[in-house]
Amino acid sequence: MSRGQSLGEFEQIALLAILRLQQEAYGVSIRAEIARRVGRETAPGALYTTLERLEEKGFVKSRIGEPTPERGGRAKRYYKVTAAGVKAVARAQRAYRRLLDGLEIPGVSHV
Amino acid sequence: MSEASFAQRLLSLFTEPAHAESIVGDLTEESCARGRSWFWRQISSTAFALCLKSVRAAPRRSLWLGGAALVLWLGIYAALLAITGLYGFLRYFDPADLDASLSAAPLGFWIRVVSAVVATNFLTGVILGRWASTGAMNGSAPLVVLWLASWVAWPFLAQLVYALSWYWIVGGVFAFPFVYLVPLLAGSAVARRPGSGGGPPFKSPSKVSD
Repeated sequence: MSRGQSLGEFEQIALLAILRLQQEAYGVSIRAEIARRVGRETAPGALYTTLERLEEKGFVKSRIGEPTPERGGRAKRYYKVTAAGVKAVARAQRAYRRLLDGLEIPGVSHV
Repeated sequence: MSEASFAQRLLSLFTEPAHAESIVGDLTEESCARGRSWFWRQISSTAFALCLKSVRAAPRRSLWLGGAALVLWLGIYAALLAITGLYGFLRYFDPADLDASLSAAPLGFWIRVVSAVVATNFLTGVILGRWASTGAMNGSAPLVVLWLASWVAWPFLAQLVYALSWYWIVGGVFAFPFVYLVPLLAGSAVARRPGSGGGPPFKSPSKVSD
């Protein structure tokens, strides 16, 4: 597997947040979902560069949605995980599980 | 031009215009609850992150472009000094006692030097934005990173090498963005103005309604 096709920790978090949000995944909702689920306040700059990189890798695709008044008439950019993105996140999660298998780490339960 | 439009123009220097629009929209939406200073902090850090990302994505090109940009900058600066007759004023840069020699310089000297540096950065930004940009990178990006690094390193070097007084260092730190970064980015923005023919040939996705 080439380095460009592997996923960093934050890339996995972003992909999983997008998968959870389904049709409603755009910058603000992705950041909110990460904050809610992971308890981490993400810098917008870090999220947008990660989303750009994921799009360049072909793991997400985006489309421009509707402009709204509270956004100063600016359109939202919705993200969707591609089949390649789903495969990449599944591969990364399998690798984590294999590493965890047989390990006893306090506070971590896995099946 | 509204603040949000200005922010959008700034981000457009380092990413696709459609992407810049959606980022500014997101930050505008959130800034209702978080305030204006939060908005500008996030715009600055996002612009820097996007600029750094484009430079890191193509390290060899960035290195080459950064070197070429520096040579271009020095060439334009030397030409402007020659045109404005500022070479005669260089006696005020006495490395043996820089603190005293700078203090002796008249106001006219500072106005001309600062004007020359501002003009040099603006022209460099125009040239790099117009002729050195690709779809993935604004031509000014490596020089922006270099100037930001200099901004951080300069106070320490000035103190270490020339033992400059604190007021020169503080003054330099405050003036640096307005003399170096703002004109460089403004030049780059002018080069990329719609219809000017400058900038990367970005593709914007077509708008669809939900």
